[in-house]
Amino acid sequence: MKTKLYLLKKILPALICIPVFVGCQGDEPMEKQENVTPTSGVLILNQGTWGKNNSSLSYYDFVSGETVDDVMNGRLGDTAQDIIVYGGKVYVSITMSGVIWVLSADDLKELKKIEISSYNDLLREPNYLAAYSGKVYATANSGHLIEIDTASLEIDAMTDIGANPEGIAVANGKIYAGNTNGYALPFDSTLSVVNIFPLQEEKRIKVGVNPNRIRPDDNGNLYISYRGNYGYYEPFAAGGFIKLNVADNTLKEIDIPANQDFTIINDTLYYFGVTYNDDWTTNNFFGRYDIISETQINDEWVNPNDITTPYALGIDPHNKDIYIADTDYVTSGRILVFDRNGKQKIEFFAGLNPCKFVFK
Amino acid sequence: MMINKSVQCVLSCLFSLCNASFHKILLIFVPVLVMFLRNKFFRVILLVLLCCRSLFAQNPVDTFSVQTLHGVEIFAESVKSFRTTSVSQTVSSENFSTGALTVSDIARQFAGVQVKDYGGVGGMKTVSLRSLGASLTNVTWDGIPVTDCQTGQIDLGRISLTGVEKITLDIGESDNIFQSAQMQSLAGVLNVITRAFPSEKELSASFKAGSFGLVNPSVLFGTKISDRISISGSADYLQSKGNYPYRQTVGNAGYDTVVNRVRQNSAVRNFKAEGNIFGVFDNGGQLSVKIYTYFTDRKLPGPAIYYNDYSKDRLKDKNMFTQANYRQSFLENTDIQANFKFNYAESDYLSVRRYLYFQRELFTDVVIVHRFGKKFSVSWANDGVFGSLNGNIINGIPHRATWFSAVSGKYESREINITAKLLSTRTKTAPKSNMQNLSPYLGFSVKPFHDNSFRLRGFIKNNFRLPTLTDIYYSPAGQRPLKPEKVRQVNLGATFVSHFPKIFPYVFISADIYRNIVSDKLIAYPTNDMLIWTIKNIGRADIRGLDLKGEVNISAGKEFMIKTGGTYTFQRALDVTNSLKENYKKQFPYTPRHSASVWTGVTMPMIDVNYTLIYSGMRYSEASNSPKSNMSPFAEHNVSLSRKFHTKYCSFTVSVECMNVANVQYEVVTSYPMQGRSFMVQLTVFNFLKNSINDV
Repeated sequence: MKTKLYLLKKILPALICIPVFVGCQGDEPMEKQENVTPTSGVLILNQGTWGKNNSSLSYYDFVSGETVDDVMNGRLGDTAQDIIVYGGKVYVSITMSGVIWVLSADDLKELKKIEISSYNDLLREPNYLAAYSGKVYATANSGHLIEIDTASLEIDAMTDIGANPEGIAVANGKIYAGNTNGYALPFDSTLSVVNIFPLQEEKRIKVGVNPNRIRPDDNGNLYISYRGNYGYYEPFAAGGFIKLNVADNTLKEIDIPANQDFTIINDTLYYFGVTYNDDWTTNNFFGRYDIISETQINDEWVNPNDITTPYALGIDPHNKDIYIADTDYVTSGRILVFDRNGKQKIEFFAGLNPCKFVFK
Repeated sequence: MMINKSVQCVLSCLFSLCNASFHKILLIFVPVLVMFLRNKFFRVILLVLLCCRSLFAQNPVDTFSVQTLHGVEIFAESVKSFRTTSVSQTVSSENFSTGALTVSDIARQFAGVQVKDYGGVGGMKTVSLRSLGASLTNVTWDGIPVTDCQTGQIDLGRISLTGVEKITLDIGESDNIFQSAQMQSLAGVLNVITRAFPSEKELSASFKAGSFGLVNPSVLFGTKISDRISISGSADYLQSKGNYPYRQTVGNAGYDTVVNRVRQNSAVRNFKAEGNIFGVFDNGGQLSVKIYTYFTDRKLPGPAIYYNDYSKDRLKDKNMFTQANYRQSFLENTDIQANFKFNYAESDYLSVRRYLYFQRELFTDVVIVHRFGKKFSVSWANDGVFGSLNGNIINGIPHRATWFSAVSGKYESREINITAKLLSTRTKTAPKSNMQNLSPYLGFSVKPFHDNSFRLRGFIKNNFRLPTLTDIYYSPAGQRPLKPEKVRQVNLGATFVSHFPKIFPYVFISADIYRNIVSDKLIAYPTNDMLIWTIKNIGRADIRGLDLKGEVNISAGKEFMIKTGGTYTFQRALDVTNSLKENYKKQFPYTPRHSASVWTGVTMPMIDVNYTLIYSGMRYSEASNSPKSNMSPFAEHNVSLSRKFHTKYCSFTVSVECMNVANVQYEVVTSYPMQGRSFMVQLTVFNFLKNSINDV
């Protein structure tokens, strides 16, 4: 049991939370259409602490300026992972609880709780979400890709991909999911390319060790950040950032430091990251990258002071306001909002460990 | 400040105490005292003691040392805790509480103790003394430390009560100076003491069966095989399905629904065997050797996650140790003892991955004590401990050598007891991390009035804990530059023991106020890549509290006796790490402000009735103390009925026990629901071998 405690406290959450650093606005193709309309508020997904059933979903209303601490009133579950808005509905994946919640985007009322865990009596643990052509796709730790029909809100297909898949994106009519094998080790370094009809894995493309985030741009490219193996076993593999041209499957390393998470709005890639000093104090960095000219944008963008650990980054697609979540893992997450020029506008508190912003 | 003021208050009435020999002692302890001089609390005490002159050596008759009353044993025990300089509590086997299976069930009764319990028979149970955390409690087994260099915590849920004679807890420091130096290293010691060797052949067996598949047979055997050699042994097997029901409240208050669920994947099987040899040599030396093995195979239900019962985790542990103690009187006034222990443990945790850990530890220790006259004694203890840990997820084999060296002195008269100790710890942890530290202790207990029933006591202790090997080396990214966690404990208390013939043969009351300051607190922190958690020396804690304990025996007629007692603990344990944070000056999670326990045993001609109550006030599960993390108070009531039968061949006890009678649903640790109402029946047969053999 002593081992148990140690492991439960230190290792398991770690393993489970590898996929957890979502941080930004989903960039799935259909979502972009909705983004044309001015945003009325921001949903903040709070991951909570593993094992405490305290994930929550905060909503900050731009008009009233008020924050609802938890639109789900404590019922979300354990270890929220990802949230997307698609077709007038909000989809939230809750990894440890093994459910995907579906809410109405208008009034944030519950529509359905889709139980992934009970499917075929096997542990599923949904990770990240992507939407395409009337379906929502979720990667699941069991090594599956799950397809949910957005009309019936039922699981209508499932297929095997690699182990512990995390990041997911749709490009060129195919689903790309990053396999990590983060539970068993050594880390995987491939993307599964999945055909949609029928839902079946087509091939795997080797990218970088432990690919964790995949986001598409508007030009048929996927951007993939990979974390490396943390020196967890020999030989050491560093993390990095890579671009995949979906049309000809060519890969190109990008000059962006291995980072925490990123988001792409129009032709700008926004990223942030944390590095650790020898005494475990943190260095936080934020940056922008022009994906057309393939260069870093070096101007002073945003440089928030007194941040403990940035945990999520969101860009309001309407006015390019910058949302940064700061966490210390034990108290309510602090949300700092800056305008596009980096001038701080407001600051408020959300739930524990805010991990993703979604604008609606 | 609270304590310092009250010290001045209480001690001002102590002026004019002391006796002549006292100055000598002070001289010897000056180096130790100097270490405390920066502390106001002890400056006051020192001043008081130096000024004292008159009262001592006036009333030499200590009424309690000559008592020969009903319940003598208890009495001897409590007189001991009445006179100690630190807070000492004892529970003997005849007073073990209802439904108790393991040491953790007993520890819940102690004042100033919080048991962190993950629920069910298989759930981990550790003790925290006065909000200092489980890693600051030493656990010893017959005087030799039980250690775990992997986690630094001892799961008391694994130490079965079979063969256990008594359990004592010293918060601060034991007044025994004839003990290993390592026992002085942390904030307190929980001693598990096994039964003495029988003078003749003895065989006892017990069988317990209870709710949720609990089966627990055990057997004890002991005999004297020659004039000089005795042996004893015990074996204990326990299994439980652990599939108890619980109610889970889903959602915040006002929006919640209650779901009835059953704990899944929590079956447990444990086996323990122990053998002891005791021998006396020609030169008067005494050697005792213990061999111990423990196997456990438990499924781990994990936290009770909303909407998901799935768990397939499993933990198998093996632990074996051999320990030996040799003691001998050298001259008339010098005793020496040597201790040896070799401990091996392996742990196989199967979760999403398989984690294997192997640890070995070698412990050696020599203690010498010399008495100067009847009142004053000095001891010197040296321990060498070598531990190593390896596993499939740790690179290399980190190992650590630690030298504990302690010089202690004790002065004991009817009027005053003073114990002073100075412990030096040096550790060399490989690959590379060395630490050293000095931990002084000073405690006193005085009789301020002519009346023998009242005493005042106080202690101050600086101590620290080393980061565990996993804290330092879990990360493959290299060792972490960690410092030891430092703790200063200050305690001031009063004890009262008396008796009122015929009706109250025994009355005991103790009250202590204390303050603990923790700096460089070791706190586990996730790094942003989450796969690697790290330990940082960032925390500061300010803990103040009050412990009360009372015990009364009531005698009503010849065969009718009531033994009752209770404890109350107040704790204000605040996080004072960072004044800019939301959790600044907030109560630590899982720390109730108020907690209490009550026990009552009624001995009647036909039947004995026992009752135990464990109460815990409101506490928070989160550092921010947000209303959402509010955990409501709970009271757990346990009742048992037992009867003793004597036959020609043996005597036996049958008991029926009901735990958590009110079926209260509560959690000690968030998401780990505790067992509701459960039942157990127990049959214990004593000494059947002895009687049958005698008959033949």
